[in-house]
Amino acid sequence: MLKFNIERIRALLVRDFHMSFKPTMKIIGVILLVYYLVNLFIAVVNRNDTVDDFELSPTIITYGLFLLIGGLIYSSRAFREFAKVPSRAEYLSLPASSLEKVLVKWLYTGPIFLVAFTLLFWILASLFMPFISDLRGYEFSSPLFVTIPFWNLVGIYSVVQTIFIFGSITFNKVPAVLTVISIMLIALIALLICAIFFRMVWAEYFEGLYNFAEQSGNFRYGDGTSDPSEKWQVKFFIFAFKFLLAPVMFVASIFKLSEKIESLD
Amino acid sequence: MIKIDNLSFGYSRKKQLFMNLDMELLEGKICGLLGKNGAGKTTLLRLIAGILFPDSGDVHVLDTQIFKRDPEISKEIFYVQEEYELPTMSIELYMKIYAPFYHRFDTDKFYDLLSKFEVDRNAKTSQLSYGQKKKVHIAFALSTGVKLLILDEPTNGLDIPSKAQFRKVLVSSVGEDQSVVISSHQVRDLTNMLDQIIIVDDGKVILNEDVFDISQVLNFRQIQGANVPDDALYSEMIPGGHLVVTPGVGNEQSQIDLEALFNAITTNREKVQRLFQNLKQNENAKI
Repeated sequence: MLKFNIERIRALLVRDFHMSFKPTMKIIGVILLVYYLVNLFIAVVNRNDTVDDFELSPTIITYGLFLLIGGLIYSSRAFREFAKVPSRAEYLSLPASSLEKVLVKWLYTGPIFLVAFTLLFWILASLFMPFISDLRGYEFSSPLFVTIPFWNLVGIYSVVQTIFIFGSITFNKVPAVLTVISIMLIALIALLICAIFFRMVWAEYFEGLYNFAEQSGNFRYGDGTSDPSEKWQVKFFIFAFKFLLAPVMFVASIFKLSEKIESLD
Repeated sequence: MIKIDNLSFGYSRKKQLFMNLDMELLEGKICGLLGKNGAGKTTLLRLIAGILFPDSGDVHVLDTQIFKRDPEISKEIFYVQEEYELPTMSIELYMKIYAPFYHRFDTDKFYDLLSKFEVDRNAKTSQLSYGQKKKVHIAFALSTGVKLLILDEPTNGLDIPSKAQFRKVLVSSVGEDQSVVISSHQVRDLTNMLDQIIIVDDGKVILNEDVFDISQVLNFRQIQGANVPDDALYSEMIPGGHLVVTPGVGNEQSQIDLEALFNAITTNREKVQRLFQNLKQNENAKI
């Protein structure tokens, strides 16, 4: 399960490049090109209809949308071999360990995708956006690589992407949808647990099951409590999201892949 | 090479496909795995390939528990599935992508087999028919040089000349340290190429014998007219007479008819098994 061999990694990298990464980048390239051509067309048609400067650059908004939607769909299809029984069997019998297989999928959907997609986006944005912004009357500046929102997006993608890789191994069919539904279900369960704890801890402030009791005197909810962001629990939660979630999902993916069988569905 | 101990497996808890199955396959043999539709031939092959896990029991391939999926063992196994779509790309690229996983892959042999199968090596997989794709997959499998080749219904989709070519190529390509397990319901396609025959029925191995022993223990012959011998284990009408399977006489050997063998063992299991037990007892007594 955890064996590591550089020759096998190389073989998997070559395989996944031709089978998955190259076709995906081609599709994303075409979609981006069409998007910018349509925007250029709209700008030409509405050239007199100028807009004010944006608070957040349209380039970074577009980049974020394409990165999160496109990248997460790609991540959820990282193990697209599992969609069909024969290709699932073929992939599972491929001589490489679970660690090697997950690592290569992570490299292509994570760091390599981020670099390739950002470069592709930067080239197309640099080609089209100066014309579009000139026609629409706002100032163009490229926010990629140098702004905090850009690096925040890269950070968020790097963490969330590992959840979608795990979903890709877990769900054979429509993994993107099922992963999103699973995340929502987990969030809902967490919310319910929080609500139950809240109800138990603050029982004295309730009247009935969920109605807040009227308080007498100068009582105000929140008085005497500190800023939530100062609490160690909240700090730990943020730390866990930033630095623990991705490694945990990576390890979970290795275990999940090791248990994966060629079932009939 | 392959050792299965006390294997139980089922796709659901209620219906077990295999119960306490034992089986052994020695190195350097071409083994035919025969069984009725739904007997679990493909499932057994997948258990041997390590892509299904047994509910209980062990499957050892090359002295290793196969469900551990050790890459060092996996690179010695190649599994040709019955239904497998080659990825859309040129045959050359397909070879370049997959050959590095198998350290003994022989490129010249691959191209040679493609020409024997009359497949254009410069073609793209999308331009090939189902049968041609199957030939590419088989040619690739035979070129990997793996120690265990698992072929699930390899002759499905092949035309008549290709089936003969397949038999010829397989027998000539398999080395002494290699083993092949072939499952097929088209038993005639496997004629004259097997060293060992395994028949599964009702979740059990009902026959696991060397071809030499089978041809000694059982006698396959055609007789004219309707005089089927009383000791016939199986008989069927053929034009002008009957094909009968009877207990063998002395050391005389006869050409095995796989279809008749399969029917004989499934209809007269206990009698046939007793004959093989007697043979083994006699051999042990001689030793």
